Amino acid sequence: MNFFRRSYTSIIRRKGKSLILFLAILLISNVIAGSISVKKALANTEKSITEKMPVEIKIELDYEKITDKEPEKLTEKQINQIGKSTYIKDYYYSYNYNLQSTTLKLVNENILFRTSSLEDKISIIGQENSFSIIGSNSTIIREITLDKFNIIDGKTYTKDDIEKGNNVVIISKELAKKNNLKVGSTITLGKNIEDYSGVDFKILKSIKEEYKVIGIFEAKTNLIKDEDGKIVEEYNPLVDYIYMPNKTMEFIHNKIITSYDELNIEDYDSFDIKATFNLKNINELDDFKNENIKKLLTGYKFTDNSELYNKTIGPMQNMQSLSNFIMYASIIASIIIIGLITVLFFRERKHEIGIYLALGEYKMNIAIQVLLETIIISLLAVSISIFSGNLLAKNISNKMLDNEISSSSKEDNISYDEFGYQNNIDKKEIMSKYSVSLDINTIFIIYIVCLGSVTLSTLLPIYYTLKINPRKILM
Amino acid sequence: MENILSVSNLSYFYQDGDIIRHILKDITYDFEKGKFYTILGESGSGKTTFLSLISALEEQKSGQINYENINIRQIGLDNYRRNKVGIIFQSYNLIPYMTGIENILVAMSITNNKLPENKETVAKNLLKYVGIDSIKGNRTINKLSGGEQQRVAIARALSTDVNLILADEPTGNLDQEMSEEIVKLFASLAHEHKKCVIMVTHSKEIAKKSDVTLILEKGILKKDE
Repeated sequence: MNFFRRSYTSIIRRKGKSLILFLAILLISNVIAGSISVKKALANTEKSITEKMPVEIKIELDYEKITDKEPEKLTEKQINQIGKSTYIKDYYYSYNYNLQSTTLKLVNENILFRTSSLEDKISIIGQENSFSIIGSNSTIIREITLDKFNIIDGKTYTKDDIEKGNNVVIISKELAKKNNLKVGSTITLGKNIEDYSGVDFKILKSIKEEYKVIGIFEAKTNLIKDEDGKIVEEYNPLVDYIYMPNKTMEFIHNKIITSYDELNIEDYDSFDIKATFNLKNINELDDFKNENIKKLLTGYKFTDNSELYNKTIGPMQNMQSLSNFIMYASIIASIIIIGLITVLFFRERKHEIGIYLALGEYKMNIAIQVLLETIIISLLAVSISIFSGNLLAKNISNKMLDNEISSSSKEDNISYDEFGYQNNIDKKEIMSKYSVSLDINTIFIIYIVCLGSVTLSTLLPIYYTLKINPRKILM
Repeated sequence: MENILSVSNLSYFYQDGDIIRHILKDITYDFEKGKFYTILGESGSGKTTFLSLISALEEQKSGQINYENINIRQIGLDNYRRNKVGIIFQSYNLIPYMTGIENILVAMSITNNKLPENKETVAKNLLKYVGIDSIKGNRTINKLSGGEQQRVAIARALSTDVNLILADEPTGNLDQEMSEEIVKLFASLAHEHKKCVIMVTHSKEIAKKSDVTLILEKGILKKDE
């Protein structure tokens, strides 16, 4: 009868005590398993949300500091210099421009946009439709990274497209459908140079370029209730945007500027660079600003979404702190409670351990036997609590997170990005991403933490029990 | 006869405040195989201390205990208890939630001595030898009487195939009839199985049935002439 068999016999024959230990471990490991599951679910949700809503810093005009003199335009060189900061995870910049087309129809011709700037962007000039053009300095389109749209046909830009400024565009499926376009089709975009000096304006020159459609995207839309209470898709301004590499846009812009010069007309063709920097860590926001504020041109400032970020992530971080506290408290409680139960049981088992010692059993074998008994009972209790704790955590934490978000979010939290797209993540979306589920990794962590706590709480009583003098107990 | 256990200049004392109390004083004696020894003495005479020292449950403070001419410290006290000696206690000291057979199997699993493969059969035979049938052998200890428990304890002491059996007042909790049977068993172990049996008792009647009676008085061991 080796110590494995002795452990088994002890558990089976000392049913009452085994049951007490089992129930104590079951209770504590339920709390530990639950808090680990919640912690893991919150971390996953936070990761998924921060990927969709990173801590962004933008360079914007500081109207309070603008004097009579118009500020200099941002350049790629300045953006790249700031982008090299060690606080920056990645950055991108895009040219924003307007081009017209006589052949392309807008998906939404009579939409009133939320931002006044957008109303200017899509306006009808003569018989031509005006399109907002969004540039990119990277093969990775920002909107795809932010999960605002995904390519459903074709592909995104190649490195060659970006570097050489090839005439390629990516359009929405709605725009493609309205204009009967597909991947490989060609569209014509350009600008008229007009003369307003007379009573009637005259078109002096038309600059046009052909662009090949290389990709078609599907923009994600939110479902909202209309005036009649019906669930409808919210209008998404992205459907009328046309995407192309920065250099492609720069090429036609330069062509237009040259034409203005040739015609000796004052240049008022607008061309903006929008730069976005993603910060590695929100806590380094001030350090980043202090480091780079001097690199900014006069009349510009850094703006960030930290307030919105904190409002979105805050409830999850609060919950994470709470689940951390519960987990550590329950680990300490388990060590104390199981330790005390083990001490009490060992006092009763001193006699038995004395017999083993008198028979010459190795102390290590006695320790393994006793530890094995606790581990077997714990394995059973922890295995059950992985599922029951998870179930418990699912029910409780869903309500807690819901309350936490409700108390911290208000209507005025809604914000829009420079394209008029809703920028923040609502409660419904957070809750849809929050899922207390079990994966191998979580199960492994629960086993390690629970069994580790039980082992720790058993080791000390074992150590002291093995120091007993068998003569004093047996004779 | 062959010496199995030799005790030379064995002393034991403990500190009681400023006073040193001597329990055993310079004991020297050789125990032989095939003999049944009893050690007589009044309460507090040091009988149990002596037994705990020669069973290595307690470490001696001075002197030497040799098992087959090797110092038991050299053998290792745990190793000595595991492989060389079988101990029987007054209060049986069996594991209560186990059966008689299981108690014997525990001892058999601990020793390093070479034992037959069919340990359970050996355990049953040993129990039969001490007067416990297999039905009682399969009962948990708390369902056995005192006498039956002591028989299981004797079977356990024999199960590791040792030549030295040490018993601390094994009949102390038993009635006269049962005590006589146990003593007969010890005598048989010594004479028929060539074991050396050393039994501590305070009963002169029982001592009369042993081959050699030793008296422990004021820490000094002397032969009862």
